[in-house]
Amino acid sequence: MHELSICQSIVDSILEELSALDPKPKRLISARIVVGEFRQIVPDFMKEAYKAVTKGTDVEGSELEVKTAPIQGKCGDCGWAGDLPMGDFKCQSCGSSGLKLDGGMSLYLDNLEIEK
Amino acid sequence: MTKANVRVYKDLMGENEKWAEETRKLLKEKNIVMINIIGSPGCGKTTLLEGMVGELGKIFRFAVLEGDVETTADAERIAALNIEASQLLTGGACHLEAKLVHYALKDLPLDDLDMVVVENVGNLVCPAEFDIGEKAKIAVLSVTEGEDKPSKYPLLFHEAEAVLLTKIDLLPHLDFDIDLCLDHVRKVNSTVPIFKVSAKTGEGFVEWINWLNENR
Repeated sequence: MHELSICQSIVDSILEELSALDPKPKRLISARIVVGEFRQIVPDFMKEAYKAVTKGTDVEGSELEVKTAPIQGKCGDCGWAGDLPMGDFKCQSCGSSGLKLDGGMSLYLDNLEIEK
Repeated sequence: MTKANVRVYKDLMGENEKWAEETRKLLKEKNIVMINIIGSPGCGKTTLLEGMVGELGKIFRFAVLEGDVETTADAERIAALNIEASQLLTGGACHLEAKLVHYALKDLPLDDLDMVVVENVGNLVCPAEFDIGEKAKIAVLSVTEGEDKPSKYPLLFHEAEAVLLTKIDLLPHLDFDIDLCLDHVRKVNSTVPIFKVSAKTGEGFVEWINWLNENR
């Protein structure tokens, strides 16, 4: 359900970015968002929401690309750094639970592919 | 056709974050602590609040914001205990967002309060993602739900500043393995304090309220 409310903010941001471009592009081909794995966003739901929210706007017919960013950890004990499996945030090298997590909460508009 | 890529890097939670920040400013100015209680439907959030009224009232002047998709039933339950309570209806949305909470907060008598307790919409997924300007998210899990929920819904349990295990008076009637459940919590949040409570018997409430007082 929360895909829809986040999608509105995606479309608002896209329209704002496009209107700031000079010269104005002919059309938007695709937009890419980056979503941290922690966000629990389902890419297919988000794409469906995108279709619904863009209907009747200047970007109707464009595609939404959803790129997932893994949760990353850095171990305070042994210095290991890398991607973490969902739901088990222990150091993958020494097993310590003293990890600093990063990346899992990313949610940003990354790229717009336009036709000039 | 000439194609081009425009790199953007624009934060998509910006609007929600702006309202959450406004709320943090307001709470700081009024010296109020706000906590955000999150758990699945039926895990006992409202009953927990009803049970907290007595102990909490000894320490804090507090009000409750009740988030739900429909009905004002929960706010009425809290108001029946002579606690200031407002119902926030999301009209279908599965979580509270910062703007709605901010406006509801401004309608409370803030000069007469030390604490605001927000009961989020019953859901283990979406509410954990939306910052509403709270000081702490509190995860609620009842012993009737299943030990592995913290691993299945890691964001909430990772973000939580405290975990409440509710309905522990039912343990003798269930096959719930409490140590296994605590292991699942530790996997996603190794240092979070966990309180085992029963609103029916009052067990664990003193420890939980003391923690709130010490961490205000």
